Amino acid sequence: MRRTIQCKKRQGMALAAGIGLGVAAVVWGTKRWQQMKQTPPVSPRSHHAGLAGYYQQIGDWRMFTRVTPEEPHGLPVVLIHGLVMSGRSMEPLALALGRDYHVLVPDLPGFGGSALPASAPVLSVNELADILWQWLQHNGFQRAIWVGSAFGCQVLAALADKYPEAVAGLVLQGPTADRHARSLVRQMWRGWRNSRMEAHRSPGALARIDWAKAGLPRGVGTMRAMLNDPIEHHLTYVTAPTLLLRGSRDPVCPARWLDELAGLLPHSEKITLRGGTHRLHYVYPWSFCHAIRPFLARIQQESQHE
Amino acid sequence: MSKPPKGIARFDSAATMLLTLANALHDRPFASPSQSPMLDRLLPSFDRLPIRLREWGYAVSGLAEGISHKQASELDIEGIAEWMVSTYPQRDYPAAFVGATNGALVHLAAAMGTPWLPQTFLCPVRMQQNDPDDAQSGFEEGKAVAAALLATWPKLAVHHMQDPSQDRLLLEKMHDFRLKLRDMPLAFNEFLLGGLPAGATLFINHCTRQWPVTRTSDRSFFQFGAPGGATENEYLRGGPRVAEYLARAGVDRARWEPPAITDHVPDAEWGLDGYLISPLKKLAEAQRWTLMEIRYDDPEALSFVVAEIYRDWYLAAGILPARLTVDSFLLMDPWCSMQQHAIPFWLMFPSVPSADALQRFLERQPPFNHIDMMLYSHGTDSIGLADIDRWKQLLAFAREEGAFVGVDETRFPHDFSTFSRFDSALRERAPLLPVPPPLSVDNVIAGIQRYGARHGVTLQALT
Repeated sequence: MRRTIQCKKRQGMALAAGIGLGVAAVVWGTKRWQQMKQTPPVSPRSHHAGLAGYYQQIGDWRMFTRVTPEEPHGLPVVLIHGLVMSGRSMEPLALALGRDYHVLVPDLPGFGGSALPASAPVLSVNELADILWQWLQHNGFQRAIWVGSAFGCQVLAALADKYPEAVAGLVLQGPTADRHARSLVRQMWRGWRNSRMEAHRSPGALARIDWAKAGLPRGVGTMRAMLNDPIEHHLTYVTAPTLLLRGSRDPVCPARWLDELAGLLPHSEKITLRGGTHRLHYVYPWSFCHAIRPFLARIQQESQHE
Repeated sequence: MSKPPKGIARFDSAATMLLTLANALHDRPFASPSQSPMLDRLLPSFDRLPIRLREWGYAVSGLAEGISHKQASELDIEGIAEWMVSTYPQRDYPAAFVGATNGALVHLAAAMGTPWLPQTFLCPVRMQQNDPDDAQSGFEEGKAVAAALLATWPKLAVHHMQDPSQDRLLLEKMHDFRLKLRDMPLAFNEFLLGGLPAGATLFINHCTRQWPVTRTSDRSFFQFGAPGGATENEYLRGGPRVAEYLARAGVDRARWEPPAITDHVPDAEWGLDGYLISPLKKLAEAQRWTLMEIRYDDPEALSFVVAEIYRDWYLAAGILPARLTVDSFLLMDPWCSMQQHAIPFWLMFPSVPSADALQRFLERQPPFNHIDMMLYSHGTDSIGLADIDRWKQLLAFAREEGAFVGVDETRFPHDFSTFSRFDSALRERAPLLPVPPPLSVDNVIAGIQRYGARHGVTLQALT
């Protein structure tokens, strides 16, 4: 009898401790989540390297843009980030390219420094392309060379389709979403496999901050938008010279998928970076820059008269 | 520093020299060469065991470094390259070295505060049972593993190495494969692109030392024997020293019978595979780096040149160098040598030719007040091993004191704990003093040009 009472007492204590720990974990998690939302949009390291940033009102949206310190000469090079990860993940590439070019890295509305309240709608790929067009004009540029990563390629494909005059050249790195694996589960599986290969220089900490800023509903909603926007439907109409780039180990953007996309583009070339993974712009920014530099130089030269 | 990934042996020249240099660039001693505090603690008590048990333990510890045939087919070259570059501090460098493994070069790089990316590393693959003296079966068994390794990276060259004289203990349970990178892995490219600004200098360390091999494909070779105590002829055709060695080891044969020689290619451990030069040239031209090639045949030739460069470096800083530190194979700590204002002299192996090289050096130098000497123990009385008395004679060149560092003279060449002991022992030999400002690229170039010709070391601009 006494034993049963003691046993129940112990169970009660364990339950109370479990609930206590759970509450503490939730409180700590919420606090940490809030802290992450306050992270400055430019990392201290990039800031020291000369990367500046500014906010602008573009239509209904308040957008944040990073810019390299070099004086503008030639066409600007604009880097567009991937899904949920903001332009902060593009900073190493911006700094590498910034030695030769004027580089701008906007955060798409809803992400990073351009975060929106949860009540704001989830924007489709076409809407994001429209906003980018407005952003370009607001910044006083007619044309630019655009460099996109993963989901950013989808936005750029829509931009190049709708506003061909804004696109002098296009670099699409690891374009999503492979039409043979266009489901949430398969994309997430591929993403997980890729993150294992990038463990040595993982952008995981950055991704958590950007998820906190974007919010889970917007992240998942944009993922749906990504799956509902077939990039191949835009690329057929893209006339700008396009460079397609992928890492040889990238499971998110297989070689076959890139070949398919190259076949759709009238003026395309392809580069495979041996040993590279999906988030080349973050993990191997210097090699990324080195690989695309001849293409950028050619476009700049062709556009010199402008 | 993170643990090395599977497929690269830690107890090997390339990995150890990489780590010792990385530690020097982080401004710290090479305190735990094994990267395992537990092993460091265990090794001294291990030395008290009877000789047979010690040999067995040495073989087992080597086994722990090996990978299986299946793991060999999944070797992650990018991961290994990533680990290599991750050991160095991330910053801008005025220069970098790429290429052949060499202890003297590591000292040079340490004095300059610059990194070195090795072309070669050792990948030991476990075998059920292996007869170190049966070259034919080793050659046949290694082919399948070599094929698996070749398939992991299209620009990899595989040198299957069997040296029953110097690697006897380890060969009983595994096969040694030296892997050479004929192109730059992405991680190497990334590291150099990010760390070398335009105008920096990239040095290729080109050791042209060759060894007769049996070629099995464009990218794979079987090398029987290695530079050290025995000659090429002795490995291939035998001789009195081989017969005596085999009799001593209780082996019922008078000589080894390796497969027919088809080619002469760069030595598996110390030589440079020239395929790497072309991608480096392209990279250097695109990045506006100066590409220089340091070329020599005898790996120890560079030790003479680096010792002279060190002497000039100290003298220019107002330091009169009167201490010599003699490294042995992978027992070296450039951080410590620099802090003690010692001139380093790296020896490839504790063999007679290396002892002769040291003697030649000492005979032509003003006498040193102190000589500190490490001695590597590989666990076998291999052909051409210089005995402890020969090393003592060399220590006698010191004007005040010549001493072994971390060496148990009675146990050499079975003194395995020297690996965990040598660095702390070396640090106790002399006070640690401030290091002169880093050696400049110009001084290195001038030094090699000035002293190189005498020792067969040349320097050539490739871009």
